[in-house]
Amino acid sequence: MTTIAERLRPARRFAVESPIAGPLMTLAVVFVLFSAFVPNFLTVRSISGIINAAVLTGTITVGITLLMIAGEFDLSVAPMMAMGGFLYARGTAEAGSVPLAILLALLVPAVMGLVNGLVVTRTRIPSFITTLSTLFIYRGIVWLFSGGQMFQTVEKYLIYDIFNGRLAFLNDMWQGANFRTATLWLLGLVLLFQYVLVRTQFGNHVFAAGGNPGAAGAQGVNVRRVKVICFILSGVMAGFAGILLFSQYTTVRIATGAGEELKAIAAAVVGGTALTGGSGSIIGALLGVMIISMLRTGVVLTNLIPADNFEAIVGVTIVGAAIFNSWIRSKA
Amino acid sequence: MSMSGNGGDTPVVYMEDIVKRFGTITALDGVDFTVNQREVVGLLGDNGAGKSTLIKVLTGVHTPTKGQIYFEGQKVDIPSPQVARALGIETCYQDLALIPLMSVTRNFFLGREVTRGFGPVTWLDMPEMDQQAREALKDIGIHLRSPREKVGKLSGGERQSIAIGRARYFGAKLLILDEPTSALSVGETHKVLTYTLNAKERGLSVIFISHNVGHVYQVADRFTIIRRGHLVGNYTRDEVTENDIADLITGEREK
Amino acid sequence: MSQKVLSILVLLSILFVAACGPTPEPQTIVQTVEVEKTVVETVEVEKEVTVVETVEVEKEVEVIKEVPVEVIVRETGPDSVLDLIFVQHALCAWDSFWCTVENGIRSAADDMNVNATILGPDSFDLERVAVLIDQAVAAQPDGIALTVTDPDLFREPIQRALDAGIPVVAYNAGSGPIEDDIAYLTYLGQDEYQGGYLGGLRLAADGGTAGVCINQQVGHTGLDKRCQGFVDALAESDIPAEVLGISDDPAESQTVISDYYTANPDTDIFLTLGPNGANPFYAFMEAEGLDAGDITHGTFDISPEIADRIRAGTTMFGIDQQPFLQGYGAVQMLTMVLRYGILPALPVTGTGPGFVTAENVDFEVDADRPVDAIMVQHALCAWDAFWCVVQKGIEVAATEMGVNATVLGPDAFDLERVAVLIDQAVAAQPDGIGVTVTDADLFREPIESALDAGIPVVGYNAGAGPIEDGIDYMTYIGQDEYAGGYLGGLRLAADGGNRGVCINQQVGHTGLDRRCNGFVDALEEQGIPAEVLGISDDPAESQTVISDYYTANPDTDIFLTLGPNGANPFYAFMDAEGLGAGDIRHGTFDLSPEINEKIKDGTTMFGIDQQPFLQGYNAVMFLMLKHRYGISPALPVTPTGPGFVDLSNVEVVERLAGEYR
Repeated sequence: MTTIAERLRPARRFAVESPIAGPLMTLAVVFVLFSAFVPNFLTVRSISGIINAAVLTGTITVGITLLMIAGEFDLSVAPMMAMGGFLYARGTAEAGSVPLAILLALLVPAVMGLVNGLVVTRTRIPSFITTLSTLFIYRGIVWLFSGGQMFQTVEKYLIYDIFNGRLAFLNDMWQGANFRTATLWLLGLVLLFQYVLVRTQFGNHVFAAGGNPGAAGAQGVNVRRVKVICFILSGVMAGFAGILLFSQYTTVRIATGAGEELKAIAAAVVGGTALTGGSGSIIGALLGVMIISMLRTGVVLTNLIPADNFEAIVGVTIVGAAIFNSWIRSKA
Repeated sequence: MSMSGNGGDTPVVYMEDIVKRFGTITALDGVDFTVNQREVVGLLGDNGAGKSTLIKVLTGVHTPTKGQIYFEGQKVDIPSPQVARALGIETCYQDLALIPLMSVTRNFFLGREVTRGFGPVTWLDMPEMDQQAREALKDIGIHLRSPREKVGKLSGGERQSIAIGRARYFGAKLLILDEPTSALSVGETHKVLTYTLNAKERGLSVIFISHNVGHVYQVADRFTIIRRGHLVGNYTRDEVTENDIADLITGEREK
Repeated sequence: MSQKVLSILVLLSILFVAACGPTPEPQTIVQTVEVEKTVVETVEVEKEVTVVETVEVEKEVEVIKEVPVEVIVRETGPDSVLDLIFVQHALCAWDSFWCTVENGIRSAADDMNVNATILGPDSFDLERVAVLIDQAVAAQPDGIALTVTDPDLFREPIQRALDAGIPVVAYNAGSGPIEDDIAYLTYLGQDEYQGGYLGGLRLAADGGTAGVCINQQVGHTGLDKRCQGFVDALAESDIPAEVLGISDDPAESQTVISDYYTANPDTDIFLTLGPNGANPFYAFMEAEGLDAGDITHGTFDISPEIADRIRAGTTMFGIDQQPFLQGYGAVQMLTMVLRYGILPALPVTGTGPGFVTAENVDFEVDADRPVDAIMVQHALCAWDAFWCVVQKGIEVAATEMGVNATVLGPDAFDLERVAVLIDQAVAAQPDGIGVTVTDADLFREPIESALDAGIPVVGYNAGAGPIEDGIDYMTYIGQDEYAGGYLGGLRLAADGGNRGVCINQQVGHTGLDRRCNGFVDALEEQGIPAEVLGISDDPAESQTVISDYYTANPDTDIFLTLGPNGANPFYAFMDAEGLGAGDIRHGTFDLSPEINEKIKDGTTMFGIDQQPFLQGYNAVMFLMLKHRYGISPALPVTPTGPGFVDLSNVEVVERLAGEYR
């Protein structure tokens, strides 16, 4: 004997309380609209394209989102990604040591993240400013490391296929499909980080550090340590993005990753993460990346907007999604 | 109820001849301060009188320039808030108590999460924590719709009471409530006062700091009044009226 | 906590340093290969330049013809001795104009250590020239330069040279490979429109009320272009200008000019198109009692009368087509092609306009005059591998031409420091300064102090040319972005197509936008729709954008990418779609190992190179030409690129990569 209202209550509660409700609805609406009205949108080819386009930004976004929930920003991920790419590239293609290549590609960006974290937590210079400066400093380091040169190889190693190879069995199943292993890596990382965030003590402290650092500190949470770890993880994810990038495109440049930091922040916000920290979701951020990627594909496929200007439409929609999210939240 | 100054015996806290100077400014000039077991002490004074400096000395935020602190009869050094906490001194600041975007349970167990796992791999035991939080709050008379509810959606009184409940649950012996009723409605204020008395019933000592003499007067067994870094005096509720206290705070009357 | 963190930090930074420390030298994407010097001797050639009389040549050629016919593949490389043949429709022996051209050839051959043989008829006879071209081809030289006096007549013999794999450039006479419809490399001669345009800018520099271009042969393409340029230049300064037609009759012409001046008494800017126009114009001035204070006058060409008037200040300048540079440049172009696989950037390489003014009208040529040049650049080979190629160009040119060239640069990217270095260069009082005009505003003052000290300055690699930079240096030597896109578009659309797209990784970047504009213009001229597709720095995203565009526009079959950043996701797109060279045509700017591979396997038609070697080489060459021969670069921008790298030269380019490419 339940009324309709009562039966709808869980759904309503989800809509109001879950951080991913907004992005999920946006994603669904965009998907349905594009499927209905954009020619060639609902094809396995376009879908796999949308997913592939989201991989690098998505990987960066995982780290950035965690950091944003902890109440900080990282604008310096691009050179970390490039650094990871260069180290991985040289380690595999030149030194021929895969484990060393992977280790350094993750460790060096981690150290860069650590430096960001220590500067932010020790000096109280806002992370926005700190990481804006380290963005340039790290780019200089990458510049020195690379000798100002792009690194490219035409060789293909097995490890490249492991990180970002074609998923042959899926692609053979559907005509035009182009699914890749990098998607699985990203998915695994998203689930891992989401789990850590929501189901571990560390995750609890991340929310607390971003939500109210004073209160968290009063309850014995080592806010500085939590934030430093988040900075390190952001660096590690950027380094991993460099690995995924090089594994498919076997090219890495000094400018690799340029602009990813802002795309990642946009994706996190579209995915329901609060710019002020303390609230958010890794899965939501992934949805955010997917929404942006879907929009881009949809806009290009409609062929109505001049092809060199479609990003503007994407930008407008990002703002729309962010407004929608905060409207949903205000219904609470 | 009127067991002020009893407990036989050793006060929970005895601060003796506390001096605190910041450069040339003397914030506290030889203040003695006592909280007995199961006693609610109202700490009163005007802005800048030295109340918060005294509390900060007690909670390890400031180190006293001179003077001793005895906790349950033992002379102690309290160099950091962590030490104060370990002794069983809990402070509930209105702004710094809880994280609005997190659930009641998560707030309740923040920093003391219940986890399960193998070796280094651990995860939160949410059902257990939900259960314990619900019961602990029920114990001091707080009934929640759901322990998973975000604290931000609760009223100011409810938030204070969760902080009080949390302090009690984790074994605090002395609870410091800093302006717990400011910016609360009459009903909410009433709730907080009730929870404060409930906490005392269950064995806690409480320092109740407020500007509102009326609120303090309803719950405190004893009043400690300080002015310009000096102790004005200690008064039991029988000795003074609300008006007396107000006059003592401003220094219009010495008793 | 803080101590622990600090110790971890120290540990990690040690690791970090350890990771970075032993890094080998900056990785270059390109491999330097030892080039072996192979000289295949075919004919015994003297090292000196020989002007061979036709009769003699015939004999020589006959000897060769008796050799069993086989295509001799000549290996050429940086140090190879080259045999070049020049076929021209006139000779110094009977037309003194050509002595200057031949001097240019001789000087260049001497500088560049090549054997140059000049062939020509003993009187004006185009049929004979065509026969000489065939004889030149039969001699199987490394390269041929010729005057395309009659494209229809010469088309077949030139084609035979091209078919034999001999590179051909044209000089003095011709209209460029596109207009002449013969696929030779470039035509070196005067750019008539630019002559009129740049002359017009000079004449209007101090303002004016009205201008007139006095044309002695309206309807002559070259002369009309000069007037068009003049009118356009004045229009930019909001000065009305028009064309006045005169005739071959000086008396009649003088009256026409006089009547025009009566009807338009506010006319104060005059351009004449040669001695035939200048002569009646001077008569008109005398009759009217006009002098330099009343009007400004410039003219094309130099005659004794014009030279006198320039000295007197009546005439501001005479525009010279610089025949010396036509000869010198032709040798240089062929040498670049043969030794380094460096191709001329444009179908027409301007040797003129060269402005003869009061300052240089009495310039004394001295081929042995010592030249000290200082090259100031914002980066060095020591820390940026790109610049090794530029510096190699400087070094090779300096060695060949006997120039004492010094390269100055900062230890790290620091433009303030570069400005200081320019000042230091000026203080050393060299005969010429080369500068990368990386920041025109910052460098304006130091460069102008060099110009004030009378030191000629060229810009190379970075800059926008004297006009756009607003600094009066001689020329900027670098890539012409629009021409790159345009010529690339023409190549890609040569066999038709349905739709083209220019994939731009940084919409809004002036240089990249120009490339796309050129491409779109070229395709639209062929009636093929074309547009620009914006991509990003994220290759994964870019690949999907390209894929989506292709889904939405499946008839697209012409793709231009603007560098490895665009080509890289484009290849991933082709790979994912299963597209091959048969389905689409692709060209790109720049080279990378990947692009080189794709050029070799036929996927990519070409990579467009800015040819940095030529930037360094030409900078030194122009400073030397200025100091020894009084010759200035013709145009504000002297393009070194687009240099097309395709199947024909990708191997050479790859072999020389890192050093010369």
